[in-house]
Amino acid sequence: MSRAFDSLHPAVSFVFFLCAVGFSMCCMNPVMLLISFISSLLFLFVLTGEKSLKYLLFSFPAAAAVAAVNTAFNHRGATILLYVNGNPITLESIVYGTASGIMLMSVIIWFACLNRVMTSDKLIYLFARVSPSLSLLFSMILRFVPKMKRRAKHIASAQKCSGAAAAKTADRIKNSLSAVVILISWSFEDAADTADSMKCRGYGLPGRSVFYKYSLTLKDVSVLAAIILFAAFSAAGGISGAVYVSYFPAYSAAACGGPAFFTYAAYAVLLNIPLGLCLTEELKWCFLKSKI
Amino acid sequence: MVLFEIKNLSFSYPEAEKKALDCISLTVKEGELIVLCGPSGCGKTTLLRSLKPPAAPHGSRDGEILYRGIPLNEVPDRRLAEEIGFVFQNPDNQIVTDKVWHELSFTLESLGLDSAAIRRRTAEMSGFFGISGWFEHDTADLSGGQKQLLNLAAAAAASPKVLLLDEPTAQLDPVAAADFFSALLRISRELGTTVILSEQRLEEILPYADRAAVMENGRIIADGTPQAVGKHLKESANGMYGAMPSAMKIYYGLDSVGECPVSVRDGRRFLGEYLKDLSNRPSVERKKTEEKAPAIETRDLWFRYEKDSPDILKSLNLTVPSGSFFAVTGANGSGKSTLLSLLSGLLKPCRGNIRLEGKKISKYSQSELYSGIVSLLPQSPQALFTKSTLKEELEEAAKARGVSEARLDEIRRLTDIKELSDRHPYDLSGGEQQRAALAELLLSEPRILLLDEPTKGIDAVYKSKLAGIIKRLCRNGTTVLTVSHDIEFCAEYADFCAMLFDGKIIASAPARDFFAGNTFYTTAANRISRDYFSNAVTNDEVVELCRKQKEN
Repeated sequence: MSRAFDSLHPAVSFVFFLCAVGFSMCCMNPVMLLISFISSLLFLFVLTGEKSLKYLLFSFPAAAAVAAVNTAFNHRGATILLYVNGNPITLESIVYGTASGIMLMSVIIWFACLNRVMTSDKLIYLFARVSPSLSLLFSMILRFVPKMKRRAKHIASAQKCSGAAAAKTADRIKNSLSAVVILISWSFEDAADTADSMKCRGYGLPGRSVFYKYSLTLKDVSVLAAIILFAAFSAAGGISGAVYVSYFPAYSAAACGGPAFFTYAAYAVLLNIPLGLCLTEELKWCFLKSKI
Repeated sequence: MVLFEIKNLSFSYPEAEKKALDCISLTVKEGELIVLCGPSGCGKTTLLRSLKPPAAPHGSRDGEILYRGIPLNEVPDRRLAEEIGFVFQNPDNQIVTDKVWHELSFTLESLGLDSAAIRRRTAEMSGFFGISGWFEHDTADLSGGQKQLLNLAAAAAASPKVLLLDEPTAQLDPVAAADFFSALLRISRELGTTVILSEQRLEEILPYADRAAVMENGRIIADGTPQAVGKHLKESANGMYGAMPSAMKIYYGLDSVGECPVSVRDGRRFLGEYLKDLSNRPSVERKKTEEKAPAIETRDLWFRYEKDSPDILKSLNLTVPSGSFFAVTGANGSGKSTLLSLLSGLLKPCRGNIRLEGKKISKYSQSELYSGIVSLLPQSPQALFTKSTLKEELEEAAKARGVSEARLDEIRRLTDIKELSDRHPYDLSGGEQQRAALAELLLSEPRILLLDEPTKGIDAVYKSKLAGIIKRLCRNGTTVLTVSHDIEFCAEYADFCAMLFDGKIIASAPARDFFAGNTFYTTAANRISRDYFSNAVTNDEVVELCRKQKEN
């Protein structure tokens, strides 16, 4: 179901996540926090299915913990509820803590979505636009890490079976050190081979190009335009002060007029663009199937 | 048209007394498929690398290499990258990036092609090599055979004029090697690309070669058609004759005249002519092996890696007689390595039990088990070496295990590594590393020795040396169990053979009976002689039976 968003151009996905994470971090307006939190959870549900429930279960205690910490250390606010050890506990700081907790959780969930959508391919592609050599390096590291992990395991079991296993802690430390030595020297040996292979395939010739697997389609452009449009609306709402809230010294919000509702609506649309794409695709399939 | 012209090429590595290449002269014409053969350390790799300047070793060089009439070192780098492709021995190390598609496009990126051109070329390549199914995969998740096929495709992506391959199948199992060769032959046949390859698996590739060149001590000692080269080696009683295809060895074993067969098909035709008036199917008489107490015994062994993952071993029963050389064969992924890990106590079975030397494996303590009962030789012996010389390495290991100087000397003699003492373990050849690792394992005097693919990437000479060591160990009462893909090796030297399939031991028998009963998974000699003799498995057996027939 998530393929409708997965298959977009990486730059589009990246801009979306930039907006989602950016707005979520900047907006402390409770309505907008809730919109962000719910949208992120819905999208994660589309991406991972049941696994997203784990995040939901985890997010309540985490938000509560942030709220508790904030309450314990932040003593600003006009409405004093009680004193603990001579320190005032205020209603404002509880509310602000809860809001920060929700903000933190929605950012984390957005990152979980990003992790799912932005595979290494896509990140490398975006990197390559900025710095081709850095992106190649990144790709080589991604190649190297699983190889090194597998090798470390191989060395550990080889050493264990060779009869080198030792009873004393000192010997055991010595053995693990020698395993590291093997891993490093072996990796250097391999690196020499890899360097030869790169040279043989013309690495270092002037005018190296980068193979871009992705190309920008009309759909990518229109989705990008929608993201930018609604992001602009949301930003305008924020800058104009229509959705302004302040928690200290006492909670106060701008009037709940038309501009505020307009901003909330734009914000909700912005964050649910991926969800909308996925649902439309799903409906299209149902429709096509029903026609058979 | 002449592609490479090598004139009196000599080369020596810095600080080496011996020349690695000694007055090599060789002419390579366009479209030829040339197989370079020779024992390890004969200079094959040095010669191949000399033909591709970015991979050429450093040292002093004499003589001349012309590439299409131009001295090789005057050919511009761009042209070298475009026209000369190189595939190395190790499938893993030459892969640079994390994705298959990225790897395929690497050369094209270096040459500065634009994305549209690269997209088209990689699409063509993956169609040609059958890579489309795993085009988007991570390179880390591929099998060894797929990796090497990817390397071949990546080298061929810039549509080179010539491909140089340095023992490309040494690390592959027979099935993967056959796939690799068929892809290589397609490049040679359908695209007309010139191919120069060094290889130990001559049985498979020699029948398709236009020319073979045999090297020894840095010289080319024979150069010509496979038949001519075989004849020369036979007449000069050269050690490399042992690596020639079975059909050829049977032919010369019978002192025949006429066209010498190279492939299994020609071998069958030749044998048919030779034994024209044969009525019955004679067989080789074999001695019955005596019953011995089992050294390894497993009962209903079940194993899977995770709770929900598929079963790797399903009710596996295996009995290995004490003091025997036992080989377990089977395809990739059939669970051979898992079986070794279980037998060495690295993994615990989910169900069933393992008895080593009559005692349950769980009853041994860790230190008991690994100092005197069982040892495992890993597939890559490098995993054992920590010191900078072999002497230090072994002396340190002997001290840690409380082994006397005299016994260490004895083990050094047994494994034939006395001359290698001052070398760095990483500078040894595959076969030498293997023997050095074996020496280190023998220091703990294991009753049971487990070997994981010991013949991978090792030439014929080292194989027989290894077999000699194993036989000596068995005579002293050590039980040796190996998992191996190497059918010819198992048929020639093992006492017993078993086949692992679908998590079970399907067949287990004395080695030669085992292979005589197989149809596909058997030696070339058996495939050649099957219609005439009922159970001949090795070349010598075929020759012996033929002679007997002629005498009668």
